[in-house]
Amino acid sequence: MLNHLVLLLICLLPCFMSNLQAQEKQLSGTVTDENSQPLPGANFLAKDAPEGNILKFAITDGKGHYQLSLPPGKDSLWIEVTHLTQNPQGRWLANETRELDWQLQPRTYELPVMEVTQEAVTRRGDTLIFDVAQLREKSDQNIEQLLRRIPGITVSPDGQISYQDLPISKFYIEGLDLLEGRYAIATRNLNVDAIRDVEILERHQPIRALDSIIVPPNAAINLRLKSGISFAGTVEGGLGLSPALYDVQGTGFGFTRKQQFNALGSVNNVGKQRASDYQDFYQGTDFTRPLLSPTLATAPFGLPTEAYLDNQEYTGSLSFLRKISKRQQLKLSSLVVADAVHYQGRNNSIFRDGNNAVTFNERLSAEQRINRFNTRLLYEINRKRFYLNSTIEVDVDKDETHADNVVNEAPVPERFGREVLSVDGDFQAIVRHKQKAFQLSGTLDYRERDVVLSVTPLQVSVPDFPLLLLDSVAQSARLSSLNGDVYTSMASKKGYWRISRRIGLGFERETMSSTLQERQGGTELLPADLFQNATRQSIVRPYLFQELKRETDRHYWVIKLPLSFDLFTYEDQLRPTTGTLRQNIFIAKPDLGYSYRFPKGQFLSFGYGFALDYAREKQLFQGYILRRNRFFDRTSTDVNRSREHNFSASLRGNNPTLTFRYQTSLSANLATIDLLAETSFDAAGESQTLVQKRNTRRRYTWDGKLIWIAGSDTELRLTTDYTRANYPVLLNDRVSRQFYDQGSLKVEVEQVFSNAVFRASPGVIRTFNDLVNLVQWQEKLEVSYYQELPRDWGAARLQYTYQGFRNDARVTTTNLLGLSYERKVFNDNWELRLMGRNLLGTETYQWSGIDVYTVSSSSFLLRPRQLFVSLKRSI
Amino acid sequence: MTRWISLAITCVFGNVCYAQLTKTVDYALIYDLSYIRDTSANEYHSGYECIAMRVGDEGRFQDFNEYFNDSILISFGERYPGLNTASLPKEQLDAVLEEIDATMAKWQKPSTDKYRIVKDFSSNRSKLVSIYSMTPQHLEQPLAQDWQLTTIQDTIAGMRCYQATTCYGGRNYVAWYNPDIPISDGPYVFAGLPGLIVKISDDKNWYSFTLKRLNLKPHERFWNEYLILPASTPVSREIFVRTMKERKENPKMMGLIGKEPEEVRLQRKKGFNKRFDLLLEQNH
Repeated sequence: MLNHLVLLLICLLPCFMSNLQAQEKQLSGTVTDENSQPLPGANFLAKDAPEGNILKFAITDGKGHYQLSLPPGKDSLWIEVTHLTQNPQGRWLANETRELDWQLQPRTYELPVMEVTQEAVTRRGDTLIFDVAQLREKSDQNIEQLLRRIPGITVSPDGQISYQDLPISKFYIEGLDLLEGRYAIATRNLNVDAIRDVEILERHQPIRALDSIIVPPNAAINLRLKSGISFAGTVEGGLGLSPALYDVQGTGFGFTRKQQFNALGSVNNVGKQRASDYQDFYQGTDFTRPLLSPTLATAPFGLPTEAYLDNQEYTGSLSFLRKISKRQQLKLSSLVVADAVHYQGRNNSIFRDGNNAVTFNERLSAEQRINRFNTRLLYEINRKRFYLNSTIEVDVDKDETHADNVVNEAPVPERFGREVLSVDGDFQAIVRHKQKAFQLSGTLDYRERDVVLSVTPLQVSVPDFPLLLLDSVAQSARLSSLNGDVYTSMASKKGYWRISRRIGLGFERETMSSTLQERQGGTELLPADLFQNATRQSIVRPYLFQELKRETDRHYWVIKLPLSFDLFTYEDQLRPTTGTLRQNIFIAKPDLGYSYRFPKGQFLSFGYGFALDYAREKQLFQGYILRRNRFFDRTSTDVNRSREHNFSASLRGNNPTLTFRYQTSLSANLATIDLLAETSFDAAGESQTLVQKRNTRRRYTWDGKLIWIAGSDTELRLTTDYTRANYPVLLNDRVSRQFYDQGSLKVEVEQVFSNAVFRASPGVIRTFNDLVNLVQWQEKLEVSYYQELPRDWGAARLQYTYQGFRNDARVTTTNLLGLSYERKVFNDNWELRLMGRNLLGTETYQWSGIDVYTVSSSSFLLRPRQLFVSLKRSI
Repeated sequence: MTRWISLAITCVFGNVCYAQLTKTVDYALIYDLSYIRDTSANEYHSGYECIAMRVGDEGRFQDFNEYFNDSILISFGERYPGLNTASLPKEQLDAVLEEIDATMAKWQKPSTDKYRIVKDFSSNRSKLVSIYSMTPQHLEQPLAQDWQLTTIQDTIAGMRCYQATTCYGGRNYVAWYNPDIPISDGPYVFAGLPGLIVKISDDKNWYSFTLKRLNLKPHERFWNEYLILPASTPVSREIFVRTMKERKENPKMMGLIGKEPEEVRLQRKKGFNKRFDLLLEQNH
């Protein structure tokens, strides 16, 4: 037995010994530098060969100690020690447990060379450069879609681009401003594939002579093209029913080193107004009420034009830019628009004054033909010390309307014609000397308007004249105006105040002649002293505008002080004794604003403004003018002066977690006005004249807005406002004060899903007018649902609009439903779109309205049920 | 940047004014982060730079542009003692704030400030700042240095590199390190290999850090002593990941309701859905 045990031990002993040998060995010790200081962070590598595989590793701790496990299976290992600041050491060591200290020697490292790759966004000073290749989405078809996703940029529905809430000052392509404000032509038609970079030039000063002197807050955008791109464009076409529908557009852009051009042409009868692409965003819009106008069915508001506009529009434009030298350029742009629009609808108007009521029932049908031609030539020198910009623009606008209206079951056709010729010139010259710049600017505008309105028949009803029925009358007017302005601007800084001033001299000269004539018979039944005008009005206006601003971290002050002195002259050549006026009118409109910022970011603002002014936009005339069918108007022989006080207060802020934002404001307006409109109406129509009667008006307004992120991908916006007004009315020889109030509430909700967006927007408006003694309710609901379909099958959109009007007399509703589908086809080179409009077959858009003494209910003929197919391709 | 923000930031980091603004770093490394944006279409976002540097036992990892912006702001605190406590005379304070605004307007780099990490090499722990929490918070955890070496070698960025693998934050990573550069450091929370990590990416290739530039000579660099605020409290991994996830899915860009077409609204949401850079950490 014992012998067997010994034999077993002897057999097992080698196994035991080899087992011992198979356990990992440890190599440990300390690493020091040449000064015997411990070296933390030294790397120990156990390899099977100097250039072989790394089998184990260790790193010295803070005291320079290391413990390296040696892998089994090898008799010897290559042990390497490395450190960032020391020469490496290595040696072959037996695979056994031992203590071993190392002392390393210092060395200098050679730095490896690394490449730098292009970043998606880079900044050079004030310029942000976005690499389009890294920014774009596959679905981007034009620049406008790409720009929307750049942080800080918003694009309004009409195409105006803003950066950090301020409109951009310039839109360049390769540093050249080809389109001069009409950049929607480029952003909506230029292919993304042609663009290499989008540059945002923050605080851009386009005038080199003002560089670093005036730093505007607005940014500019510059598109950099891919090299080799010389032409880009789009082609789009579509057909549909019913009736036969067509929509074709083509655009082309050409680029060389010294020249750029753009050509655009379109034709459509689907209700699109492509002429809006030519809107100049560098200039503000100017609205003046027309002197004469035909009676047309009132177009719906709040609906896209494709829902109701029955048109045939042709547009064409050409823009050309040539760089004459490095700092000089010449630009020429022209556009033509021709459109034929058909208006059809009904209108029921009731005039009330508390005692009487008169009703006009109208069936309105008119065709309007518009023709417009515009051309602009610009020359610019933009050097460091000198800047010159001179522009001349010619605009010809022609408008003809034929209306076959029926009023109270009697036909009353109308013919309207308008021709306008405008010639505008302006210049701006700046000279720089060291850190100062001297500017001189000027404008000169000439305008000629010929308008004619003929009505068949017409009941002439004006005070001091017996009622007269005429078979056919024609109201004609010819206006010509010449306006000019020369001014200089300067900006300075004094302590914390920034001051800007503008000193100038302006003049306006306008002549008007108007006649109301019976078209048949030739007898003079309309006396000239009541129905004719031949006037001349001129104003010479020296002015000084000042603005002072002071801003600290908590407080913001702004004081505006516009002052002018109008040398006003009016002459009526038909009424020399009563129709002459010479006045020197002092105008001052000081405005004071103050804003306080709370530590948590809320803003409280107050404002007060006073205006000593007069109604300058209105030409004076003493003879009655038939401004539209059944409405005669005249002014007085005096300017309508006013004194106005305006108080305002507002609060805005957001909560610390930024899930909601709020703002609310109050304003009160008190005005005293010298003249009052005296209005009278009867079964023949209405007339108005201005009489001397000082009167006061009061208006109080409150509005509020709340934006709330209600949950994941859910946003809610609440908008509300209330207006209360009180003003005098002189109606049918009776003076009274009218009380008017209106309140509205609108809610907008948006819920975003993974592949869909749902929006709903209900709203209600309540209006009350005590003169007609009526409360009116308006309800509106807009719902849209957008769904991306799977597997690149495109996307579909459903839109529903409801509008309802309710008052004691009437309830009207309009329901509209539309559906569209879009998808990329033919290897994603074309975009296919199918659209169905007015799927419910709603015939008319219905609405009601309350004016001072008028209650009206109207309808407008909508475009019938339609199906449209279009294809679009970018070149 | 408004003045009050400038002042707030200089106040927050203000104590730096009384300490040294720069330090001699042992080395500085610039990594490029590339992350997936669309897992179905395999679209990536790249060109996002991060800086890693070390002084003694402390290492830093940060969005490079944000590091640059911080250096400008805090340098004003150094130049104008008293700025951090707003104890300068009013007129001087306004002038300095104006100068800060002008400087930032000119030089500020765009950044999204996603990563602020402090590595303690003596205790082998790291702190990750939670960028989107409303109060200062950070995730504290061991450095990711539990490596398995492989025998695979390759040439990465012109250097002979060895492969190692690890599992961290719910993802499996493959790293390439260069033992010829004996720095046991790398991007993000990764460290502890016997050579500089030249490239590291997860096994799905959704996240990839690639070395772009490096300076191995000790040199002076801006050093923000308060990269993690003293008031910052540690949170669990679950809270840390949940905060990031909420930010990704609910970006709260308000004010545009109804103002942009539905297609654009969806693209914006998808743009944030594609921000996988916010989901580097998971709950494992």
